[in-house]
Amino acid sequence: MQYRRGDLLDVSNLRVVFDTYAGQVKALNGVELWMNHGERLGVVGETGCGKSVTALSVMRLIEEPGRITEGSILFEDKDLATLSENILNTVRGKDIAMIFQEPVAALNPVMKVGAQIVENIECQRKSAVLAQGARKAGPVTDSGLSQKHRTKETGSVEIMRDMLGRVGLDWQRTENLYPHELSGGMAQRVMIAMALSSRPKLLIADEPTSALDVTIQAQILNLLNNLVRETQTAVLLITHAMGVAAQFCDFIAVMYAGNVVEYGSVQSIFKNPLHPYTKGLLRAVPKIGRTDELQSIPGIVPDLISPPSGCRFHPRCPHRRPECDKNQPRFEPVREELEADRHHVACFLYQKDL
Amino acid sequence: MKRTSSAAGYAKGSSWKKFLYERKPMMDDMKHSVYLWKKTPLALIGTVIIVLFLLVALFAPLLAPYDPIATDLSRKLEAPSAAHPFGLDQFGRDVLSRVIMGTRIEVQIIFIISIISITIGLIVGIVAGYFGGVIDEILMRITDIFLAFPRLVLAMAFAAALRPTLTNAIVAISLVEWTVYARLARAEAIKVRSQPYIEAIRALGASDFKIMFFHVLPMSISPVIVQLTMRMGTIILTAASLGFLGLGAQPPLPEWGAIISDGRSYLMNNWWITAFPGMAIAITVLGFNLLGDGIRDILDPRIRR
Amino acid sequence: MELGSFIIKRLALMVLVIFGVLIIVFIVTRIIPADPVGAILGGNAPPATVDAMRHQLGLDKPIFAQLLDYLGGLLRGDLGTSLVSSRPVLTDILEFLPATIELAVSSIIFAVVLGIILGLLSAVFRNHFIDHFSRVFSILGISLPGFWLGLILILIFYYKLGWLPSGGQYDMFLFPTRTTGLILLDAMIHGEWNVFWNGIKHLILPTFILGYSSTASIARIMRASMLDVLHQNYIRTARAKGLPRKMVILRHALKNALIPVITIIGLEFGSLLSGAVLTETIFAWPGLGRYIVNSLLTLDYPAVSGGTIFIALIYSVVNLAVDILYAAVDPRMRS
Repeated sequence: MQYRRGDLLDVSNLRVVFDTYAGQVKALNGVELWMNHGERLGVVGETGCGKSVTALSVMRLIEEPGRITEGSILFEDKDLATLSENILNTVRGKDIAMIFQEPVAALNPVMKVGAQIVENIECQRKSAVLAQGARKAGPVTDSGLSQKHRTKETGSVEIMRDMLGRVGLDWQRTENLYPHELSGGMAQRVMIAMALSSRPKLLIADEPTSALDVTIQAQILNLLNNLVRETQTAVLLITHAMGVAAQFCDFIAVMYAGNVVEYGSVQSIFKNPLHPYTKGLLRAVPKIGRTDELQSIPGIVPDLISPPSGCRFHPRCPHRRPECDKNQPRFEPVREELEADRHHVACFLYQKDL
Repeated sequence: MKRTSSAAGYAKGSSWKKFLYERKPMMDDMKHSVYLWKKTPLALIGTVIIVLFLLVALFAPLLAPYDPIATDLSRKLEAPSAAHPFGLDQFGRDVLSRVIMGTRIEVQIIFIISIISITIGLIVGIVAGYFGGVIDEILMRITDIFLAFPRLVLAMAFAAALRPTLTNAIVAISLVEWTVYARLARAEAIKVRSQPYIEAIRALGASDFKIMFFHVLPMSISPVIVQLTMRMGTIILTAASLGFLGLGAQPPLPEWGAIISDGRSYLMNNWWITAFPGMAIAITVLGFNLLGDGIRDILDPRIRR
Repeated sequence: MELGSFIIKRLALMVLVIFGVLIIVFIVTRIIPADPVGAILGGNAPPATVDAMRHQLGLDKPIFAQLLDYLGGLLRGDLGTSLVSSRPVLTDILEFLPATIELAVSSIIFAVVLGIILGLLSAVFRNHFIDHFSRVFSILGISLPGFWLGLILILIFYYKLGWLPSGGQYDMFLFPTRTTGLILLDAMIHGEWNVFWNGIKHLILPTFILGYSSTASIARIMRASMLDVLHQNYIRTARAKGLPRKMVILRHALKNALIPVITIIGLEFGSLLSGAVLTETIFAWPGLGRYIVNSLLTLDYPAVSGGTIFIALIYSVVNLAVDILYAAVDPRMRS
């Protein structure tokens, strides 16, 4: 039994595959990451490295033909990887909320946005009542449940309006609009209002700004920053931009081809990147005042139907060793550094017993 | 000398390699299509049915055991037997032979209707889509008018006005069927029209006709053909319906719908005259529909993934 | 507001199309037929009779004058006189219309309800037994010739089993009171329950035959549309809210999946009217479809013209209604 690493979320050895016509895509190959209450973790990597799959797996939103084959997703006291769909639904939306890359497409086109937020608030109320009832193990009478629900229902619309205000939208103008009448930025604000309306413990933001204009991106990130700071909500931010992650997060997990190859505090990753892939990524980030040439990482992202053996980065790695294509490197703490930095890396260059 | 030739060989090889490399996505795409085809058993069954149907039509005179028109009133309405598996009709004609010879009529129907309706549809659609504006508006409103009739009702009216014969039924169905392809071709023409290369060609002085014929037409043909495959079943059903109503092929032509119409009066005691040609229609239409479904699925980007 | 202007635009377009329909019907019934008079009088009539007939039908006038006569008559509600029944065509049509409406309505209800349910179950339980069943049922529905299947069902359920009648709207020994012309409705109004049940029995086979191919098409579209919708991002959002699967499907997926189905219902109504021609012929159903077929076979051009115009009119109105419904359901359509 592994010891518990983060008191909010601890994902270990998470493996996800997609069965397609062409073969089995091994999308996640033993992902490791964890976080405590109120922390912000950024997951970075190239397109197709499994960041979004990781995010969706945490909510168990992976759809056919995808499935979780191995690993655990400990959230507080539950393992989301094995939880029944019914109990999972009391966690989804209530304890963990999610916002997505394309906010307009993420909203139901035939439902007014106000109603979509209210639906979430009410759904979480029901979940709360159910969860409470289950905890007390006492009988929850039907009338009691609906009574409680009804009295609180009056408040849902007010909460919705309050949330719209908090994300900088005028509820009078917004609540009766349909998603296609919103700009991308507005739609993302609505999504944020919806996600935070239930005061979740963890917000998963899957590339929340990638589809938006650059100026809007900064606004949305600032908004998100202020809102989650107020409520001390933990954030799992999926992004392909190292800069965004560094700015917004406390910790960073670097993913490559279905693995977290390096994990640690923002300082430790930026000051002392260890994995050759992380180094490569950082060399590819433009910075003001930087005089050296930007460098790209040679080679292409591997095909995950027949991924490279051993370390999946070895075909592109400038420091390749003989053992690299034989075994998968263990994900291990970097001992020289402070424990608070949680610096971990999966690379044979740093394995102590070799 | 040797050196140059090997260099040339190398260059040739590399250009060949380059050629292959550039076309790799296309080749992979085709391989993928074939792969999906094999993976879709229903499309395969449809293909087999249609191939059989065409083979029967091709060798019909050899396959038909008896003369489909020769009557023998002494043996009329004989039930199916080993000698006459589908039985005999009210004039003592062998139903099996009539059904087999009927395949030729169905092939003829499909072939001519396809050609006429596609030609009209492509011309109307491409002209409307390419020129746009008033021309488009007028042509599309005319199309709308044709679409305002339930298809069979309009085909019936045309067929009757032209005098009911097989040829006129074919013309009538074509006059109804072209609207489908006109709309498709128009959509395609609008897409092509706005491509930058068309503007470039026009700037080089190509005439409208040339652009439509050499650039817009080739792009429009493949979606139209795909659609046609999917509509084959409906076309056969419409033709058979006209035949059944007495507005298409006339006796003694062994058109399947007309045979069913013949058998209708003898339904209670002599079901075979009705049952077998109907099954022939059903199987053929099923074949075309399965094939059409298969083609649609294979071309569907959502399923392709 | 926007919906209102949409309806007006759509209405204007419909008027234009109906005018075109009238022209086409005119061409089909007056210009293409080489010799309508010969068709009426037979080949060997004396020239004087032929001329008199031509004059009586207005065929001696120039074509434009004929067109104006025809359009003028239509405006006054005069569709001409049937050459067979010698009654005004409009009277004939109004007598036969209710039977067609009854059959078409029961068939479209059958097709829409069964089609949507089958398509929905098929998509939700993809690759399960119900999906396979529904797909086989659907592909047969669009492949089997309805007129043939109708005959086979008559053979089985009337001749062999004797469970259902072979045709007609009700048994000949019944004399229902007519008010609206819709047999079932009239029977309910007048409390003639024996007529009502008799009518239902007569309606079963024609409804199934007429509705089957539409059921199949609707089920196929519904399945495809539902599968498509279930992969949309907003469904993922709904699941992320923690809504139970049933709620995700009923509240978020269903309405979106129905949008393309609504369009197809309009088109299906067209094929339903086409099918009515065949179904009414097979089941001796006293409706407009059978009237048109008989008129075509007897070369009763005024009747053909009137019947065809009526059918096209019904179809256009239904399509208009479907378009409006579509705009009402999908907020994206309005802007």
